Amino acid sequence: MTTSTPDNNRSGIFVSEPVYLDINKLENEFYRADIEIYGVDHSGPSYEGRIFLNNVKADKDTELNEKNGYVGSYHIFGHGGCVGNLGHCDLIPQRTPYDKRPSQDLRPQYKRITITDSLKQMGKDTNKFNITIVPVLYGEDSHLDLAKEKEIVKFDKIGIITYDS
Amino acid sequence: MTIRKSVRNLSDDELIALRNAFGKMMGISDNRGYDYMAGIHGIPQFKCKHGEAGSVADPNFRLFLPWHRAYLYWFEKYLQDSSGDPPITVPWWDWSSEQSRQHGIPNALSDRVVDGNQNPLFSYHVKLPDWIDLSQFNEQTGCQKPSEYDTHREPSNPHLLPTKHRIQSLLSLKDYGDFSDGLEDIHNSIHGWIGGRCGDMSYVPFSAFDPIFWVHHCMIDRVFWLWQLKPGHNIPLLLYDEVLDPFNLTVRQVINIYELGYDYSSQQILVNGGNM
Repeated sequence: MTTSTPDNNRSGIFVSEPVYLDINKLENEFYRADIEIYGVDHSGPSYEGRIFLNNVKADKDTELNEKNGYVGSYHIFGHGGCVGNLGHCDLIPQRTPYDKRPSQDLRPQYKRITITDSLKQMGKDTNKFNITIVPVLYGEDSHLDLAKEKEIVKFDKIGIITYDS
Repeated sequence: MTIRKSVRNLSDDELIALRNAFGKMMGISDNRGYDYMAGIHGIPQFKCKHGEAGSVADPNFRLFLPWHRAYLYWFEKYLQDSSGDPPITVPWWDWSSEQSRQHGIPNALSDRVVDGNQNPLFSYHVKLPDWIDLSQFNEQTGCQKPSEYDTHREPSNPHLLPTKHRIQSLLSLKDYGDFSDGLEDIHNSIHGWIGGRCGDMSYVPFSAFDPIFWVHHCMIDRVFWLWQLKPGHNIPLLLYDEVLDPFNLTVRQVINIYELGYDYSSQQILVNGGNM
């Protein structure tokens, strides 16, 4: 697991720190591999998050194919900001076991994208993976300026997990 | 038992009855009406369940599908009450069909006017509560939503809709968590596909005001049921006693759609028997 930082040179696009994983040194061959994203924020606009492996230059015009390292997308159904009074959307970090109210609808989400075949293929040649997330807003053209777009993809951690049998 | 059908397979009479039912429900302003039911999902009640994965330690804790099944069931019951026509059911829109991937939203839902009247399946007139503050929404999204407006859509290119193959792949997943996450992701993409930049369907707080919301979720529920029908495909036991707020139902009570009194069929034609 690794933390992720934004690519400050290109607003809105995240490129992770390298994830080091040598699939040739795993004790058993994996039958499944996922990219996991923890703590995904969905309080802003809805968007498609396009995920590329080892293509740090990917952007929203990059073709979605294996050659370009595209491994899949996740889709956020966003809230578009807070519409309530002051504090309405503040997350309560830890509730007590005696607080039986339903959980808050804005708590961060978990996303996973299965990349089994792509990882097996790419892992033959490298043990270093950069994960790029390119946010693409719905609609004909982007209606947000870059400064706002920069705030769309927010999460706590990103990484790769494999499973063997 | 009532039958839910594809919106493209409805007869003219069935479509008229459906429009009349939506129109009547939209005219009721108390807690049996359209505004109240739509307001359970987002503004003002915010009860909807999305993206449960990761919020609870168990990776199979996902209420998205059962919660929306209960919600659609509840909505359909009030739709039947307001129509005075119990056989009325919410139809599904198969966004993965060849017709949809060529032509997009069906005419039944996209015609603005039918016989000189506004089509209640096209739009709904929203009056938001006074306490709703849209300033942050308008700033974050770049949209200009007023506190009173007609819902609208900004659909994308039809060929971007999911393929039949994608749905079939999803149905082959045995693990409930994988299936639920996959279907929810497609669901999210359809919301964005319909709503586009500023349309209601793109945003959780407003989406249920658009009449297409119910038809979209009927398709989601149908795909959920098709998955359930496959051998070995089960909802985890740990979910069974979860309460689906505010519907007075648990997950256990919505697992079997036959116990809720409906089924999915591409077509049902009945004729009178000898005793009629």
